[in-house]
Amino acid sequence: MVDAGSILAQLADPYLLLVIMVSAAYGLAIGSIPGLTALMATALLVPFIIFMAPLPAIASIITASAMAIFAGDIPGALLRMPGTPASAAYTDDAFKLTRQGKSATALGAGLFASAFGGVASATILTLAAPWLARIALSFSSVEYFWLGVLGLSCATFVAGPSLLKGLASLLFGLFLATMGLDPISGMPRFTFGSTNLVGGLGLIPVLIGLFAVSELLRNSYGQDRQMSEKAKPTSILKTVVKLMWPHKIGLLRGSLLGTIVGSLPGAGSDIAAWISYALAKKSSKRGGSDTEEGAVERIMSASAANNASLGGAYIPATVFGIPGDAITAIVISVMFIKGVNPGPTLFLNQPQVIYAIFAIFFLANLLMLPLGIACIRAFGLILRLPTSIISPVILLFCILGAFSVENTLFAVGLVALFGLLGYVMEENEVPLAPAILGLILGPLLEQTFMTTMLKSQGDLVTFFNRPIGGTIGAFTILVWALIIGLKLFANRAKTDDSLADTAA
Amino acid sequence: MKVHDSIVGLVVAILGGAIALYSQSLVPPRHLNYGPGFFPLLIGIGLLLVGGGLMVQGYVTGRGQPLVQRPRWLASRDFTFRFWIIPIAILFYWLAVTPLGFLATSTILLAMIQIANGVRWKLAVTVALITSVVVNILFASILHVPLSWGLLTPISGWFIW
Repeated sequence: MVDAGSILAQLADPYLLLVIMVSAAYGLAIGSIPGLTALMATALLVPFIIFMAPLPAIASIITASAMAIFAGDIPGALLRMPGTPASAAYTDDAFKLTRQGKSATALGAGLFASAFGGVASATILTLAAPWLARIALSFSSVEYFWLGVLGLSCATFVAGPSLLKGLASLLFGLFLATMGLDPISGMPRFTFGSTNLVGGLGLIPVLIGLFAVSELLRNSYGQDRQMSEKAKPTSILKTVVKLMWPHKIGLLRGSLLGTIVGSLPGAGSDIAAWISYALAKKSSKRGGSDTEEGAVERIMSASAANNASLGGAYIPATVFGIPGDAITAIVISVMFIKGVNPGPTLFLNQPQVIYAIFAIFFLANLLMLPLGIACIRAFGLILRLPTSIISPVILLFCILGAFSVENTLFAVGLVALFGLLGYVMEENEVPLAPAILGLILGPLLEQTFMTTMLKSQGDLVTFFNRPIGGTIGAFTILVWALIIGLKLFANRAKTDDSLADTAA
Repeated sequence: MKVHDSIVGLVVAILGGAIALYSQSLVPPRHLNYGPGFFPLLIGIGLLLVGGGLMVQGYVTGRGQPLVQRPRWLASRDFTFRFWIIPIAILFYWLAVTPLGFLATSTILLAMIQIANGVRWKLAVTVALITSVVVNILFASILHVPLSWGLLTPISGWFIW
């Protein structure tokens, strides 16, 4: 264990605090511009933080992503335009309150619930991660292989309505991961004689292309934004403090649910928010009602959940080095570049770093309260920036982001290619997240599989021989059977329904 | 650009087939049961199966849907222009940044897209120039990213601190 004093000493570094403040302001600004997601905010941070020390670099991502997830509520509540997909679940409820002149209630509920959810998930993270890490120390390539498979499975199953399209995206990502030198034999694969491809595809250019540039393409022909001058929020503090206690159950449920959903690989903040929203609406009397109280309950549960999911996602990321969502995927790649290798040994070798990262979670979420209130007030200014001027600047940062991470112009070409590809995929309802997770987890999957096979001389039974590995393996297969069974069942029910409809 | 699910399936299946074929050219080193071609082969077969599944599903559920829907950026000439200017701008950056240098390339790129988006050209050029200078100082001078100086190479020493 490390003592609290040394962690606090690390946090007292003025440079670190400055980085946190700047990242917070940046995250709030990006999150509150509709169309720009928390993920994009994180991806565009990479070229800057690559030059920082490990701790400020990670602190910057944590702060910016937490702020961006909250800030997405602001245009959602005031303009009915969710700033990030994570806020979409309760946008209608929040906007209805705004139209009744109660924007302070809507935004305040979102802000306080966000901070509460964030702190709650940080607590769970701090308590659970070291304990899990101790178990993970006995893991071999078998366990990591199954964890990778489980992670990819969850990512695919939650990705969208079509299982087949999710799988297609996942396999495509795994294919991209095989480009470059084979990890075991060193043979070049899919390089087509190009030296640029020998090292494999860089994660950051692919990520920026798929998510950020495709988003710019999709917004390029959208209508110009309409400004709304109504909805000036009144005093937030006074309104909300009264509201916290009656909604404590919703807050706790949302936080817990968000942390769990967030820790599942592939399920991000938007899914956490939707599930929590649905649960608040269906299972509690308060949340099911159509009154102002009901709306506040739903906003608080869902808003707590989407911020809690961020902390949850760091559990698999720090303990196993397996990303829970695309944001932690970036965090993991930044950690590797900075020499902080995520995984159970991190808790043994550099406990001060990992606990400082956890402490930053608390700090960022507490900082959200004053900065969030300031941002709600300043929101009018941010919205007045016209997209026609902002979007080219964002494009320039996309290009520079890819270039400064890879230091080759080839990366810039990748950004354009994957931008168009991401656009076409989204248009055809092929989810993007499984492809990214496939690209990240592909090498881990292949390496652990090959090492296991080398050790056991090609005996596949090894994958079920070890107690923990075998259990995770059996569980993974069970999840697959269950999901495919459910899908088939649902499809049959649907065709039965439509047949019954035509018969009637 | 939305196409029929069967076409999505076909594209996925063709990709899978190509990957599976290519994987056969990766011969495992001796004494190894699983070589460098094993994972690509699995992925290729997986894509073939998924693509086939999508084709069947598209055929069963998607009858009567058009094979190709007109992409929304074809709705007006402005939209087409605003859409394609983005990949063209990236391509332009790729080709021009080494000979012209970052400052000029970035100014042209920013101004070009803004004008395509309907910003008045005087404002567009001003914003483009100021942003480029700020970004250049930030990335090249402070963060030491090796941005190309191009035409400005003879005086680049003045800007790198």
